[in-house]
Amino acid sequence: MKREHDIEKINRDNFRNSLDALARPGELRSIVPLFDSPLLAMASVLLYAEVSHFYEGTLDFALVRALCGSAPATEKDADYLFFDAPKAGHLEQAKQGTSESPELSATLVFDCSRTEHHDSSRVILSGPGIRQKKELILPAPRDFLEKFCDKNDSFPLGIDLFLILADNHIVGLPRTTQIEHIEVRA
Amino acid sequence: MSYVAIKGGVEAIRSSKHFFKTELRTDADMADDTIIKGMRFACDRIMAEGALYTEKLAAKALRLSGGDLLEAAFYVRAHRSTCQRIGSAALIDTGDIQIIRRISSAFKDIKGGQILGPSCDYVIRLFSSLKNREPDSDGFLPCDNSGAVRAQSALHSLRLEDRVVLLPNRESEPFDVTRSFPLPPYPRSGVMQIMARGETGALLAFAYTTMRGFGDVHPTIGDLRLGMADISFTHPLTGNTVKVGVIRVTACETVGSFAPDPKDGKLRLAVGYGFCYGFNETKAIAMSILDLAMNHTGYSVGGDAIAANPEIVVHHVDAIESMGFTNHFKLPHYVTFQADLQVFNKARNNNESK
Amino acid sequence: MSQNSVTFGFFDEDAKKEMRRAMLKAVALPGYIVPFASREMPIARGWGTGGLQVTLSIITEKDTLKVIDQGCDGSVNAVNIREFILSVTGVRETTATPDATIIQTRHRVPEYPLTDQQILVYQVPTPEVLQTVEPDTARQKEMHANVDYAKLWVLLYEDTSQFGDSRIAARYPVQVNNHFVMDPSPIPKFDIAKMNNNPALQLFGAGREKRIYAIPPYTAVEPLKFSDRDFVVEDFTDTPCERCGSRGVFLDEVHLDDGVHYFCSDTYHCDTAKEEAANAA
Repeated sequence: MKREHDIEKINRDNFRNSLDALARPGELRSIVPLFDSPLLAMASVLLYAEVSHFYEGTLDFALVRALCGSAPATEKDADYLFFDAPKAGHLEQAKQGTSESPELSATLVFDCSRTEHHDSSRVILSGPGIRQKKELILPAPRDFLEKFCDKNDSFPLGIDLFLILADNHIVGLPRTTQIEHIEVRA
Repeated sequence: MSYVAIKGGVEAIRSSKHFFKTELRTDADMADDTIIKGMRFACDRIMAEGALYTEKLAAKALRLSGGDLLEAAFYVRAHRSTCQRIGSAALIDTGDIQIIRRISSAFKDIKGGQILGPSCDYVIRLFSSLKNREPDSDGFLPCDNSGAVRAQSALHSLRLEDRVVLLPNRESEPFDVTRSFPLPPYPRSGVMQIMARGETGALLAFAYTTMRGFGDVHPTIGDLRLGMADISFTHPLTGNTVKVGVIRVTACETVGSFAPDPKDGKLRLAVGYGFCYGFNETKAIAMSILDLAMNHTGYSVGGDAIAANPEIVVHHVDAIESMGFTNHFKLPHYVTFQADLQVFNKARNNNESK
Repeated sequence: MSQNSVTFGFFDEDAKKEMRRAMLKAVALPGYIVPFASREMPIARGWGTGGLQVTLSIITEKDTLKVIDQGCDGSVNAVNIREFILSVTGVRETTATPDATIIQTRHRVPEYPLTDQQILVYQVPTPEVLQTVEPDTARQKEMHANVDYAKLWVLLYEDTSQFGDSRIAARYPVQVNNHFVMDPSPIPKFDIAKMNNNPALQLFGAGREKRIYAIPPYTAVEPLKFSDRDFVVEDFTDTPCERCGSRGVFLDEVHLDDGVHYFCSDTYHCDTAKEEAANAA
């Protein structure tokens, strides 16, 4: 067998964990960083010549872009969007697909590893992939998660998310996931 | 009770593969070069249907498959899946190829001339030769491509006179069905690509339906040409256009009926286009007729035009797919048949007790 | 790349990413068939190229693979596919259902219950459940968009009034997560219940028809049926497997000179049940 680039192996392992994360919303899976960044590792898993992307943030995307051959696009048209922090406004323009082709929608990846504690949300998730209910703390503000639910309130239209947590972990949130907020007493 | 093998296919499968190699595929004496030269049209079909221009692998595929053209094209396609794409070549203009044969049945005299070139069209298909009528090699000019002609399509003058429908181009760049499969409404370039990879016999059969009763295409071959096309790439560093090779191609333009052009209501002629790798006139003609039938439905007179429906053409001309699926019925269907039987027995009991 | 060197998992990276894109969408859209640019394989269309593409784009070095056809690891199709996957990945193989991390299957869901550590990959010949009632691709998409399955209900009604039940034996339409109706691949009705709320991720690949779809773990899967009718599945209660004595599993009917015999379709189940019976004796 031919010796291949390590990056293909990293993509392979990271994809498998991403697939598992999206299939089991709320369960943490680990990601091997690429160029020291889990966000760039996710970009390397998802991007290739036939899909477009949007990135706003401080990372150098040039190398991953060149390796994957993916074309940049506007926030409204991009197939994949990447951001350095979870802000509700970033969900606004992402495309939701059409009722005939709901797969023509955006997948968004947010680096939430630097989210402040007070911006985290205690939630209960339910929906496909979850055995009954799952309670956890997501490092994303409440208005962000509410916006996510708004975008997904007419299935099959919607968007899918990956959140990057601390220590190179990810959580997947497909459009089918229902999110219930638990008030945290101060 | 008799012995029932509930498993144990591994050895049987190995033996079957071995037998195929030793009993049915006895190819030891055939060199690739012999096949490339002597079985040119077979190699051309394999390259076209395999969707990869590679004479050497086409010849090898023909050997490995014992001459089965569908199987051979399948080898090439499977290999193609593993090839990394480097980029897209520059567009080929078939008005610009080096012609070795070019005819028009629309006009007697055409700019650039009717060039019969090498063809089997005029050959009498007898195993024995006709007495005193076969050409001897004296008196013929050597056939080489050094002085090959270039000429625009014989329909070019009709286009200049605005007598041909120009289909609106809705695509900014050609669709590639190997990268994402098209959804309806199917882009014309995608359908063209599917047909160019399609099986000659399938295209022929569907095209034939349009000529007799299922659609009413009266095709006139405007320009059929065989020749050599240059393949050019943009050099990634210098940005210059570089010729990387020459391939054999066949192209055909076919004129159909006329009708008011939806664009402005003027009467115009409908034209279809066909193109494939290698020399395969039947395929290029059939493809041009199907293109005509699918894109000019208003120009057809009566009849249910099966082949005017892109759904029919797009999903049924690829032999790698249709052959595979047809043959898959040889696989075990014990479970589904068992389920069928139970449903059948219940339905029968139900109806008999009525 | 020369023709003799093959990368891990056969395909080039772009091909895998195309399938992976489709799979992630499929998981987010339970039961919806996602179009993808299906690649040609060295095995024929209709012989499991869809399942194979799915398996090859999810498989990693850590996986243990099981491949079955008609419930059997030794069936021609299973043998071919397993040998191919092993040759391009070098992963471990097994016939034991609980030991596998990826199980590729044609026409059966294993009898042994699956876990949340497993992925079941189905080979699918006809992914579009509406194809029998509506051959036009554009109309099919419209009907799915409107969750309009009236034509399927009509077919079900006509069959029921004429034959007492649906004539569909395998490939019985199922509704996933109360939304999309999908083709479960040609598994018998007997296996439909196993799809419902299964801890394993179920992925479906149709190579020739260029579609990938999925049922996420713990997702509702219901056969399409009238509320006043039972969903009648294949019945083997009167006949145990002649080899291992199992009841309540799907059996193969075998016609021999001395009459009709029944054996487990799932050979791993048969072997383990036979062993257990021997140990108990």
